[in-house]
Amino acid sequence: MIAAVIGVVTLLLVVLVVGRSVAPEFRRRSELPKYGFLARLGIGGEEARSKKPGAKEK
Amino acid sequence: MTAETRDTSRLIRAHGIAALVGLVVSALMGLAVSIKFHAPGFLNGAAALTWGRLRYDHTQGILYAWLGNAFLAFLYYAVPKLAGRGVRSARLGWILFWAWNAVAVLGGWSLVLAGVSQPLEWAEFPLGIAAAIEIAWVLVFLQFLRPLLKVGAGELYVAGWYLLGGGVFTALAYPVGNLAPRFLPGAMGASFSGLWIHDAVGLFITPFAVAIAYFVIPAVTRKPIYSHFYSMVGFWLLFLVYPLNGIHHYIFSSLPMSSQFASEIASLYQGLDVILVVANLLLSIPALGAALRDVPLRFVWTSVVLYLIVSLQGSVQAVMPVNRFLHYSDWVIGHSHLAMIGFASFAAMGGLAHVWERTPGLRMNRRMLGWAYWLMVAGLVGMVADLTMAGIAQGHLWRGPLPWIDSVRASRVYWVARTHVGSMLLLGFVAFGVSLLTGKVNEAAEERAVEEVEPQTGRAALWLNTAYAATFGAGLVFFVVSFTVLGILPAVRLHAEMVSAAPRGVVGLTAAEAHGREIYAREGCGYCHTEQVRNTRADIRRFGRPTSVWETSGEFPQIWGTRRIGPDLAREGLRRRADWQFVHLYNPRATVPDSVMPAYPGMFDGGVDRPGRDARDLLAYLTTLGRAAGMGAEPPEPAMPAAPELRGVDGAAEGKNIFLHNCSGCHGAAGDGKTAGGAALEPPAFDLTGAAMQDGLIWRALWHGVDGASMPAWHTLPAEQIRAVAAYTATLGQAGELREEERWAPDAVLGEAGRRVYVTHCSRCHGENGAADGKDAKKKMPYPANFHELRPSYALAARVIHEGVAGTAMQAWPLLTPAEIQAVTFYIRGFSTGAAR
Repeated sequence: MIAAVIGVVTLLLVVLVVGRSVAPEFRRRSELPKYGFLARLGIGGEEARSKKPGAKEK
Repeated sequence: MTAETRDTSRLIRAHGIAALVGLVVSALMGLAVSIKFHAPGFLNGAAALTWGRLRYDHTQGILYAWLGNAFLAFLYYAVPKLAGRGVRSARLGWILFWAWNAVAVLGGWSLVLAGVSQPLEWAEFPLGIAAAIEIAWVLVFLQFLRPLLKVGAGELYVAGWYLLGGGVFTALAYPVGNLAPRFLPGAMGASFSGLWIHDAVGLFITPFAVAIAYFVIPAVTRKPIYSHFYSMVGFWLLFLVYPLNGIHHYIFSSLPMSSQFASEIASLYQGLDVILVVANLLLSIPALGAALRDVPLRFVWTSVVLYLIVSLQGSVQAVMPVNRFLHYSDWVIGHSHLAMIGFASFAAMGGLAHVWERTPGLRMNRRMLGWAYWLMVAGLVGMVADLTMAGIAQGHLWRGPLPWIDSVRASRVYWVARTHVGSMLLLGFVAFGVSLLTGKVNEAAEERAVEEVEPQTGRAALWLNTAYAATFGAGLVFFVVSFTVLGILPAVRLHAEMVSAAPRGVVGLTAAEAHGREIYAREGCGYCHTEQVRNTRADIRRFGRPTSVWETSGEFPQIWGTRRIGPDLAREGLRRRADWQFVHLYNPRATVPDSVMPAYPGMFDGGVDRPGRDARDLLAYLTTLGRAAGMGAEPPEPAMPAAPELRGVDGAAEGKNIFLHNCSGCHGAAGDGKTAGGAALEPPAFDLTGAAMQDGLIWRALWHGVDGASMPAWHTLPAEQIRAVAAYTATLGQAGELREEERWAPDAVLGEAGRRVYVTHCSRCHGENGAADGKDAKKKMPYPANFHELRPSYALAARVIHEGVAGTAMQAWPLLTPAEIQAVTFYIRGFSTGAAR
């Protein structure tokens, strides 16, 4: 049963990986959080701010 | 500085200082534990400072006092930057601080030293403290994790995911590890213990440590990580696969083999996940040399590299051929120290230092931080190398025929080395603390406005959010799956086996035996002695039949143990007599000269012959070990070879050396039985100098032991060693002759008088012809002396006849006159054949 569980887990992740590789927009959006993180640290200037998910100042 | 920043700074400082204190105190306990391995009398005066209690507090201190506080300090800095919103409140923060440190840490430490604890690895604090920790996790959730939950699934940076996952899964796994073994006996509880042992590291420590890596690396390099998507893949794999590893702590046990195989597969798969995570992190550091000039990043980078090494090591040692050889040895301790220091602590130090140098009002001494790093690297490399070599030596010796104590002797040099490198590590920890408490004060940084994150829109965002949210939900489901597959299903199967396979008449523990079990648990006996004979050739040869699942069906919680410094005790009740156990408990070195077991004189009322309630109840528990198994067949003892010629044999020097290391604890260095331990046994250790013994008698006693006495069987020694020590023993016995001035009468008169005394008082046991075949002989244990094989000296005979022999049927004959004693001794010496000197 454990082998089946690991198989299902692997399948789920393979679906995610394949989905990402065939969908450029999905691929772009999946990387956005790392730019958002840098922007919140004040790193990267306008480039980071343009790439991070939409933000507004409090 | 805003009020929020000031509050946060204070909480970071408080948790940081608590972490530093926790680290040094826990490390000091660890150093004391290490010293006791090669100096067992060190700090043994007080019950609170015995090995077992300090050992419990050492591991729990590292987990909660050091790493828990370090992670909490990091969270105060990291969560606002990850969530785009502050933590819940300063007031809640101080409640959490005091709950964590005053109640959980100080309360737990104190109770363990007072003898209130659980014998569960990584869950040694008592249940009341475990409840307090669980409540603290709820506060952690409210303070830190709720803000993260408000960020959309597709927007949350991977470090936030790790914090979220670590917080949620630890809160779920922690009660499982603490409560399940209390309600499920023996093997069933062990299934859940295995889950927690691994989940403590995999779902608590690892997520927080990896979160630090994902935070610090881009923050210092000022570059984004290599791939956020693959970091998420690594995250999902950790939480989905890690819980499936737990049973690999019980390979070759009585747990279902399917669960054991499954845990091996999961362990190997986990190694692949770690390769993915580490590759992603290391590829995120451009210009490595320049980057590592930042010392906090250097700590984090080292942690990541060691994460890979220790994880692959773990994957390898889970597979059966390797596990068979290395499990229970110091290799596993080296592995756990590599994980907790090299991976977890280095990450925590990197995160704490990164946060510390950016928090207004705190100090940082960068030069001292650099020194701390190198001291710890040197100490860690030394410790892991030392324990790895010790583990290989132990595994090799355990597979062979030599007595267990040989592995203890061989380990001593490694244990001494461990104390030295451990001291270096402690110095590094102190230097780390000094680096955060000295140096320039950080100035208040320009405060940035907190930016909230708006959710993304569009179909891709929807797919991403749905995928991540679904996978997180799957993670929760898979936790339940792991709980079911690795805990509940094996438990159900085991219960059925327990019921069907247990022999009739297996009884539970009496009140005294149960109390003895509590003592065994609180003193950490299970951390040196296992109670499970594994299904391996080496275990079966040394300890007997493998432990069946029903044998521990009355144990709540189980004390199977995960480390062997002393031998396995699953069959101890069938092996040792009560008198030996009391002497051994009072002072282990009285019976086993090279033992490193702590002495427990505090369990006695002033002397080894006055055991107190704790000693008596602990012995009562020990005598139950193997009691149920004794109802089944034991593997046969190997056939004894014919006694060799012992006189004039080369090797007396080697025999003397073996005698001194194995026999002198009871028989004394001179072989005269004049030791505290030997004299306290019943019957006392034989005075080997007081009689001439035939070769056959010596050989039989060494090979089989002596039934009814504490003399163990030594057939596990190589044949040439038994021959050597037998030859040496044969040189000790001196029957002597009667001096003329001591003689009471001529031989003929002595002989006739002695015959009359013998027939009247001795022949019922010793037989008409002194061959130990009297009418009552078989009712006596140990058997009466056979005077055809043993020719006592006049001094020994006089002592034995006048005083009797405690623990045997040989009573004292105080009414016999010295003349009558001399006469009967003269008579019985006439029975011997060729043993006289």
